[in-house]
Amino acid sequence: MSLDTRLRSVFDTVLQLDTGLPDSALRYQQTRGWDSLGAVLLVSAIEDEFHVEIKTGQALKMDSFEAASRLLRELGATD
Amino acid sequence: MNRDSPPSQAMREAALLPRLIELIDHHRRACPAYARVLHAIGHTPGRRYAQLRELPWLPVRLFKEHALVSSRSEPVAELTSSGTTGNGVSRIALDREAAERQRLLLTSTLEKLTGPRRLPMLIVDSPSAVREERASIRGATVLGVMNIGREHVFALNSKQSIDADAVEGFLQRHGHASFLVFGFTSLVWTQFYALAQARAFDLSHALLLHTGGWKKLADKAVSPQEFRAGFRDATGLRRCHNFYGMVEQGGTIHMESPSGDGLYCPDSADVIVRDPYTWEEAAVGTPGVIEVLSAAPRAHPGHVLLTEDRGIVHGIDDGEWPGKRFAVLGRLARAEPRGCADTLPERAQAYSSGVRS
Repeated sequence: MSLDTRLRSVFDTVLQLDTGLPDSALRYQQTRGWDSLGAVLLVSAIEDEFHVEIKTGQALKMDSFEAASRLLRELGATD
Repeated sequence: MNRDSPPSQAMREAALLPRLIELIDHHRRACPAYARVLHAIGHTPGRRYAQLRELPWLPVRLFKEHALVSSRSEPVAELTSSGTTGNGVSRIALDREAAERQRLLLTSTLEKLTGPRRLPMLIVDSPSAVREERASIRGATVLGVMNIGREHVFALNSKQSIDADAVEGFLQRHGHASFLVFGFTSLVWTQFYALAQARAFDLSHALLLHTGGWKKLADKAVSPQEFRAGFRDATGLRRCHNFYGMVEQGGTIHMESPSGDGLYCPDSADVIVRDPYTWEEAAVGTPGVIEVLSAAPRAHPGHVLLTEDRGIVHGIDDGEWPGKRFAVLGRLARAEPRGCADTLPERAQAYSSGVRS
């Protein structure tokens, strides 16, 4: 399974998303459920799934699916 | 605050003054009610200000009686104060930009203490605080502080009682290295400290952050010094920071230094303690009413506020961090100035009974 597929699965589970939404539509404070609490839960779930550590500043910049995917690659996560 | 702060109070004030003057103009344009207050008290456009203490302040109570908004954007949240005094609650509407600014500001201030890594966090509160009370300052604060933590564990159950198993499980997993404990002061003392003392927890690796709840603690006659000493002697906990803030200036928090020699303002804020008889700035060491100034609020005119708290500036540029070091002494006994700021000087007596003994 690709990194983005796994990441999307985490998003879907934590934020209880409509799976029909495209990845590009997922944005902090715009996507239902991705509010301040959703953000905290999402960061923890991504860390668990990919066994990475996300620092505070990195977490705060993770404001879209694309940003999360890019961050994971920077942290060494692979497909 | 700390090594990244302006090296002196004078430099802080010089940096803050133009930002606050710009905010006054911004809110004057964006909030007609605020503009009317300024007009009524003679602060007309173009007036010059040379000192922070000259800036017009609003009594914080106005936010309990009026919806003061400077944003045309759709609000994404409305935060309320705790209202523990029974005098009503403030309601602060936040647009998306304001909510995000608050989150970043709070996190930035906390991160200066905790470092860039998100540490395991024990929250001395119940999960319902963030799931069901998110619109309250309590829930919003817990949620905001959660950003600097990971592997969060709530120490209280839904009945607000300590969950000893959860706490012990957390300490077994994380107690051997740096971790965070956060909660409201009264809950930390009455619930968490009581358990920690009884079971002789080793909290020597903990960094404890606590806020609010001073009134309940004062009722139990526990001073800040006793609070610190209690944790240190019973658990070995030495890193302990209280912080002070309010819903009307969300995200702006005034942090206690490591030694506990006072509260210090973040870079984008300041405090002035005013004499309740003259409303002039009180001398260092003289109690008065706390005014808070923050460059953060843009969605509502909460940038210069006279609080309902008594306080004292203990010193300026003479403590552990640069700037003013101050303490909150408690809530004013009778804090009900009604109407606009222009009537306040004549109503000084409304405050005075709570300030002067």
